[in-house]
Amino acid sequence: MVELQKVSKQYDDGTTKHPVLQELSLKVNAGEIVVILGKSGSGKSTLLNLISGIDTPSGGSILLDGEAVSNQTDRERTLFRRRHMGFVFQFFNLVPTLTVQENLLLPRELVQGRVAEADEHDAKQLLKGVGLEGRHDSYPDQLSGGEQQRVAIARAIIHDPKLILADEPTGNLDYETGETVLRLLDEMVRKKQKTMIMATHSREVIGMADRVFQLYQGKLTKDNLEL
Amino acid sequence: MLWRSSLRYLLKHPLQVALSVLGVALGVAVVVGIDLSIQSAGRAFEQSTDRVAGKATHRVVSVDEGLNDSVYTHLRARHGIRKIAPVVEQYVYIPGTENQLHVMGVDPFAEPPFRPYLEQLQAAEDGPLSSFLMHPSGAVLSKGTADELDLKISDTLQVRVGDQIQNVELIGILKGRDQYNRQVLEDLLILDVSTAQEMLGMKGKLSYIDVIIPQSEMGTVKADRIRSLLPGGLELQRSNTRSAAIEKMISAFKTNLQSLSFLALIVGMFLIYNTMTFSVLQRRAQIGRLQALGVTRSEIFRLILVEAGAIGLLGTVVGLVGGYVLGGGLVELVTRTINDIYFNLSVREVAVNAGIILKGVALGLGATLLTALIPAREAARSSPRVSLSRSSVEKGLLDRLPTISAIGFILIGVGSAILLYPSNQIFLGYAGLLPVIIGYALLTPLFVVGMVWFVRRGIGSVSGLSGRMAVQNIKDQLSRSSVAIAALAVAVAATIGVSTSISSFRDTVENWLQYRLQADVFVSVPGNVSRRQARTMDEEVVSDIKDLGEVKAVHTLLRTSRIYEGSVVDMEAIEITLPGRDRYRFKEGDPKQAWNILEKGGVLISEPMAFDHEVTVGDSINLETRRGKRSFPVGGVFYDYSSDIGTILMDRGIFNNHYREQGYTSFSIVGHSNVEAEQLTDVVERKLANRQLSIRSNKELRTLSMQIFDRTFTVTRVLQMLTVLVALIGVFSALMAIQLERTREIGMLRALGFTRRQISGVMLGQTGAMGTIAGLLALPLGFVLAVVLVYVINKRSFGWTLELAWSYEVLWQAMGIAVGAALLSGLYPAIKMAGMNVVRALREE
Repeated sequence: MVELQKVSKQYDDGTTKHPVLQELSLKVNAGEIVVILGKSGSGKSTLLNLISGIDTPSGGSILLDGEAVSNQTDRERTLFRRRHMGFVFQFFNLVPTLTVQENLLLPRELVQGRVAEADEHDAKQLLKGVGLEGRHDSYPDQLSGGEQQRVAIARAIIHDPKLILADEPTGNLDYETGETVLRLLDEMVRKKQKTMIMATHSREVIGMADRVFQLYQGKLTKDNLEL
Repeated sequence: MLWRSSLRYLLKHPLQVALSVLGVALGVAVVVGIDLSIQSAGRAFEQSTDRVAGKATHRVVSVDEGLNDSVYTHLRARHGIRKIAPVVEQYVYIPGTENQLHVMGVDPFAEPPFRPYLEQLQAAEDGPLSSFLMHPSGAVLSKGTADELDLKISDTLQVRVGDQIQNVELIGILKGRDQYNRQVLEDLLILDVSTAQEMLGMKGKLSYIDVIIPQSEMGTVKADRIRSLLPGGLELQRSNTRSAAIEKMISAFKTNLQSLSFLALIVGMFLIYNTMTFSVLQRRAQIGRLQALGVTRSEIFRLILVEAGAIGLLGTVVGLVGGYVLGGGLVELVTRTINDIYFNLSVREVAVNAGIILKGVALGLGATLLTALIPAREAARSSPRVSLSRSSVEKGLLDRLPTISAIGFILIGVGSAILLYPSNQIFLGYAGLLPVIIGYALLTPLFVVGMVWFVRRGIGSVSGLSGRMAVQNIKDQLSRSSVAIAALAVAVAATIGVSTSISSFRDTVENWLQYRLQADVFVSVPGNVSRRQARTMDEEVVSDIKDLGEVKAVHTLLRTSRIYEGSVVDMEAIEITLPGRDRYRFKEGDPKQAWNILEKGGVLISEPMAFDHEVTVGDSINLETRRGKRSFPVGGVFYDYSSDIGTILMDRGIFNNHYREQGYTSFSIVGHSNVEAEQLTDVVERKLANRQLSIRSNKELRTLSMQIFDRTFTVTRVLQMLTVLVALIGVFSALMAIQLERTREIGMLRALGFTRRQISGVMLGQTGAMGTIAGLLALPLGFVLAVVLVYVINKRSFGWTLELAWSYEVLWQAMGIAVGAALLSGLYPAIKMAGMNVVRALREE
């Protein structure tokens, strides 16, 4: 499903080059949940950005379903991302100017060009699934942080993507809410048989992972505590 | 430490600071530019009166410009009055150009006490005085003017006086002792009084006699004595009487220009308010943290005000420089209008004075600090916790919406009351307009919320979620978007108001010209179409034309001026046949009766005259005649748009009984029905070929009149454009602010699969919607402005009745300007947002 072949990334501040990722190789299979653990600033988000095509690697290549995304143009990568990926960020997940239902339908509209009644029905069902039935007309600022993340999870899967990328999805939530959100994410991804790569600094999530990797000094190692 | 942090914030946001500085600068520049141009025109006028009056305290003038030079001799030789000097004064043209020279005919022997700048006339043996004695037909010019005309001593200078070309020999060049004297001497053509009389066709006549009378009891006695010695039709006036009356002529013109320039400053104030609010909003977290650390509310308040003061000061300095440059351009437009409509004026330089600079500083700094008060108060008032929340700011605005709207309605009410208050004061007109504009601007948030609610429902089906996002963004960023919309709406409303009032005026004038210009051919002394001419045509010209077989009728006109109740008014003596009378339409009075009264020795007056002096049909006006003061009954009030200073119309026969002025300034010719207008023009041109006269067909004169009309409003249109420019910067600044705020959101949208084009589409959709809302908002305000300008300001300024010409074209243009300006200012932010670094954007908090 996702294959990283000796992927490197470095940032240039004009005077010096700062290597962030160094020749990472990883293969994630369809239906697998992979957790990338790492401290703040270790390059977790950079890795997710490279996989999603938001950023391009300085070296190596990234294959999605056998196709090298790193060779695609920005527009091709955007269209690929739109169709095949779902996102859950740490914060600022929802578009503040759209209602909950509109936020949910956004990926569908992007993929299909318009939304039909059936899409609205699906959105309502998904909202029910994440425990937010009846909140479809609310705006993001009328929801709590946990509720917003639940909407983000529903949005990440509404357009049936192949891959879900989650970047610190509980980083902005209290412990209890974080637990609930993770449970929901696990449940939804498993139920829909999706592939997910989650980047986090929190070891509490490793229970839901099929495999856990640690990102340290730009290198990816298999985490010893994964089982 | 706090100041350092504040300074670093400003340095870190150079574009934001630059836009605010530009907003203040443009507002200040427009006000200063207009002030400088008016001031420069005023100074040039003062210099011209200075050079004419010199040290004279009084002058002997004739009520009908028929002052015989024997009066001078009589006073000086017979009665021993020494401190008097004869003057012949007029404007002449350099042939083939519109450039004028100010002719002063003086007596070199009588001059010493009067005009010090002419001291060189008596200076040396080989100076101009001796030259005058040797060459009585010689002329003296200033060095600057001689250089400009490329003339040396002994060269011949050609000038056009009325319909004739005259030659004078240059016999002297005056260098001018200092800068002031050099300025005073510019464009001055000094002749011996007798040469001037001959050149100007004033043989045996003087323009006036200058007199110096000390301000003492002795002086009063002397003045009384001179008065007793003067024959009928002459009077002793203070020297400044006429110049004060002339200055009064342009006071309405000045007030209107200054008021329009203030509009740019008001729009600039919206921009400053927006910037300061944004700077507070952007640092709400930082302000919250500072408060949490123990920084007091008053310290926060001071910090924001000092920041605003720094921006205001910088903007003011840039604005003053810009105003100087702008003033240089505007002074030409202002001078041209004064020359077209009022009097001869030549402005050589932009006159800067401390008053204008102080006014610019006070306005720039004052407006900035005033507009920054609200955001500074907001920042200081919010609690540390609330300061951290972005939505609290917008929610606060929504909560205050009823109060803000109520204040808006109250201000509109107050403004309307002032406008409806019966008065002739122009100032009160603008004073009423200001609260209406501000009140209306305060209703913008309410209108925006309503519009967004309405449009959002309709737009979804048309352009999907992107469209809804674009529209909803406007409401969600109401604190900034509404200010930008208000600024744009006010600027566009001003465009609608000003354009409509100009087109109303234009339509009215065009319609008036239709019936006023009924003859086939018009002949006049060359020079300005609308103003009084320097010299008249003699009767021979008219009789030559009357004798032509193709000519059915000739209507003559002598236009001159009088001072009536301290104001300059035009006086027209007409010879007109019965059918020709159709060209006058009456506002008051029955036409038949009015013409009867005119024939029997009464007068007809124009609408501005009736308005300015509160005279109507049945009243009488008292005019100085050569036989003393006489009363003339007013037979009718006619529509007239050729002059805003008022016109008194008198039958030529009656005029000749009371005044001695001869000749005609213009006449119109009606051909027989079987003669084509072109044929008639040809015949007249052939007949008058040896004379320097302007011969124009009906169509030509009408076109020329409209050209002058349009030229008059160039300065207004420039101001209008500058106001829109300030608003455009306001919208741009607001959009850039919004862009900074939404960086993270846009990053997220890009991550979700929005293409660059879609992002710019959302942005441009938002700006387009802002422009549309501003345009829609501008329509009612524009209509109100047009009505006020046409029925209140115009009426109080000029006394004219105008018909409001409401055109759909102006409305479409206004919408086009609003949407176009918004889209234009949204283009750069849209491109920037579409091309933003998504990785960096996602990292932003």
